[in-house]
Amino acid sequence: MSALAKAEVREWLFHGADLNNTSLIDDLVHSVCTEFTVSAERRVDLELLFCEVITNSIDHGILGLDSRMKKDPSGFEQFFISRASKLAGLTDGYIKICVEQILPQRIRISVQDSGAGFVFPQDNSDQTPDCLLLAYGRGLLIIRNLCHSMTHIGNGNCIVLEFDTFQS
Amino acid sequence: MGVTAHRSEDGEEVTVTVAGRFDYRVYDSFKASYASLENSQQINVDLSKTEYMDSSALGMLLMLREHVGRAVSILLVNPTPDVQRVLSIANFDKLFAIKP
Repeated sequence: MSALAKAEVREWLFHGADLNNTSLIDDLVHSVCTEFTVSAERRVDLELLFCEVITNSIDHGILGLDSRMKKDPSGFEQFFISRASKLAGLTDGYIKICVEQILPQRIRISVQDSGAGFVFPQDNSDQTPDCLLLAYGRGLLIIRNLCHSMTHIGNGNCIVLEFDTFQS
Repeated sequence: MGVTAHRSEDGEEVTVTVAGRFDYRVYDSFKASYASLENSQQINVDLSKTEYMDSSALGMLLMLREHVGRAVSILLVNPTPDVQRVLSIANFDKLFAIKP
């Protein structure tokens, strides 16, 4: 047998200042694809997935920013500015990522942050065509579309995703 | 790489090209391109050289539309397959005109 043994479970821990490192996602994707077998086309999806999940953890879990700020254009700008300055000064907080091979072509990714968690919006009463215009919630939409399944556990500070490592 | 803006000879159209990554990292240069958009009738956002796009880029497209107002039309031009997929997931193909 010539195949190299691949990892079954791996963990990564990122602390405060690491989270402002622009190559964090690239390095993580590279590392996951080295440890687990991921097809070239799914690698692009994995990068997008990690980007959206980690952005959510940083913005809402660790920095405590409220997406509702992004509802109008000036708030949107404020959100970006506030995010950049808070992130630059970040010294505490962490994100823990665990990747586990659960099927030959599927991995389970858990992303947990040190934040207080949050309640997911359940209220769809304003779901008119205009809700497409709302400047938030798109990250979760993308995550849901890239994964086989998505579950929030604990108090909302941990997300568990099952991701197919080959196109089905 | 990055964001560049180019005005057509008749002065009515401005093409904003985002080459490489379209995410948080280009926020400042994307906003800086607004200065080139004054008095244009149409804005083309050229996505043919965009290798990567995430939800922050979607936010910036909405921000652009709010900035220029409804009288100016915005056309997303030639998105790469990865970019097109993100646009479709977020229903942006219903919010913006897309020219393949």
